[in-house]
Amino acid sequence: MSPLAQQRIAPAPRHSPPPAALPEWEMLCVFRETFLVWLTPPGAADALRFAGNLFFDLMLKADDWPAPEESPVRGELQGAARDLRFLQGYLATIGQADASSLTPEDARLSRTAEPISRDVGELAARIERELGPWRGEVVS
Amino acid sequence: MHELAQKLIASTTPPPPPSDPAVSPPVIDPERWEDFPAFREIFLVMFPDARANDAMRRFGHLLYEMVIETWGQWPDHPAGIFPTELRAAVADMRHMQGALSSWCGPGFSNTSEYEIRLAGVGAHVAQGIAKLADRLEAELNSWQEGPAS
Repeated sequence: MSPLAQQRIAPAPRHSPPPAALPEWEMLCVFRETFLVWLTPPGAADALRFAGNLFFDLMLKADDWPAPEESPVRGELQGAARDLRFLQGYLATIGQADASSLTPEDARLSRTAEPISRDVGELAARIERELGPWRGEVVS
Repeated sequence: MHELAQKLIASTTPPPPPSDPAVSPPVIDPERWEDFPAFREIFLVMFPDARANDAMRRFGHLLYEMVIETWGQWPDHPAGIFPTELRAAVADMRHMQGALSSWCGPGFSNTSEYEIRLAGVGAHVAQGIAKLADRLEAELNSWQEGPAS
């Protein structure tokens, strides 16, 4: 990273203080932490979290977009099921890491990730069963 | 207004209002999780306009590719990338727990039997994901403390 960019990023930008009752998850709604983990320069991940919150606020104010045909809870659960499928795959990849290339500690973590991946998949399936096929989805 | 800006604005045709039907979240094959790298689906589901949704997905891909291309020049995580990736997964699980608990928890109010049932499933999944995050976190913490002798 260029020194100028580094200078601009550090010190880490801080979130505007959230309203008292706003749960933390609402401040982290946009970028996956599994993506932000790659942004290691100090303050870089926080900068994207901050930008993400700006996107989120702008998006909430967009009135001209087509209204979802599904009810809010159905749409939210559909998104949640998709995110769980993402996590299932992510954890499975960690669980399938080649043990010979890992330290014993990392190999132990890898062994833990695999069954958790399966359990996450079952939770996704629980939601998907309840929702039934989404509009336009091909059910195999 | 600056003359050039005025000209540009005058000659630009405004985009037509969105008329396509609302877009659905994609089916995610867990083996292709890397195709959905940056943005949460619970965020993208709020972009029902197909063009906007597609643009955000492309932007997410671009961002991910740029970060991955550059990552090698950035500092390493002190704990190593492997446990740090798992901690990120725990953070995303906690996020899911918080979102589902909020949407489907005691504050949920709806008179439709189906919606109430859906919220029940969401609350159940929130508890399930919390237990899984606890399990993974316990393993990570024991890793940090070092193996028991």
